[in-house]
Amino acid sequence: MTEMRMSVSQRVKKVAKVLQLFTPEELAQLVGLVPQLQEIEPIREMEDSAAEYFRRELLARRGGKPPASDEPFIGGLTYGEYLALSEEEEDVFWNKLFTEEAMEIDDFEEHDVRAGARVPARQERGA
Amino acid sequence: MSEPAPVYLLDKNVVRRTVAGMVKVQVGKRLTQEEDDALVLLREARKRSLHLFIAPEAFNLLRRFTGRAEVDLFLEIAEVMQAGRYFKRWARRLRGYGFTPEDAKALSLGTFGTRKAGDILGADAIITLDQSFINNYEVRVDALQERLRTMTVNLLPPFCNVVLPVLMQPTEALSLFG
Repeated sequence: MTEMRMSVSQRVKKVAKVLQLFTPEELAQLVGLVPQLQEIEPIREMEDSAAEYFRRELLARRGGKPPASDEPFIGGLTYGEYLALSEEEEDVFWNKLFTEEAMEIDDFEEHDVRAGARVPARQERGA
Repeated sequence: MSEPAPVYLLDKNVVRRTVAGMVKVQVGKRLTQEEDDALVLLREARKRSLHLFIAPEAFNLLRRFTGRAEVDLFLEIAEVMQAGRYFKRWARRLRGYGFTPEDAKALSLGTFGTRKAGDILGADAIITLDQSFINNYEVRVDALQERLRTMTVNLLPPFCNVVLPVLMQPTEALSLFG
């Protein structure tokens, strides 16, 4: 995740705390209401990473609180138990989950496709 | 007229890395490079209105866990790709080219996949972390093209126009976005 190397004032931190609860759409509305925000040259260290983008949105959906460690996650594990897995244990866990849902080729139901369906453009190999 | 947005099919490992990454960012846990790449891909797809799809098996798995913020958010961005007509026939033929059952299903879905509305056929690319799948595909792509052409040349549209998807790692897909 991106680290901020500069000193940040208390009032900026307070506003940032509120803004972290905003959805991307609400942030866009804010920029519309405060056009000066568009003119500010972003400080490289403060650019929004994808991790920060999703962190903000997910926390907003949870009312600002990260998942509790005893909250059920998936596959019978709590968030705490999942986050405590080693990389190898995580591999085993996900493989087990996907194996439970694995389908044979003949298990798939084939669906109709419209005559005018969008087909990807033909790729030129080695181009 | 603007070009329709490209269609990308995410393999199960990209799905896994995305959901895992979403969990970890909320508690400040360090992401693996693959998780970070998966999140960047998802964000870019959302910003650029690209069409992201997942296989029915991954969809069925995630559907069991709706209500989790990470799963709900992911399923708002990616939709399920259904098997279109000829999916089974092509998947069986792909097995004869040394693809695992899993890879054959993914490649056939990327070729003959559609969605509920039936308005797409196949994906522009399959985004996968499985380099051996990519390697096997690259070695056999010319033979696959020819086999697919033979199978579809006399079919009615849109099936006669179908093409093989490209296979790429998330980082390669991201490099295309500039």
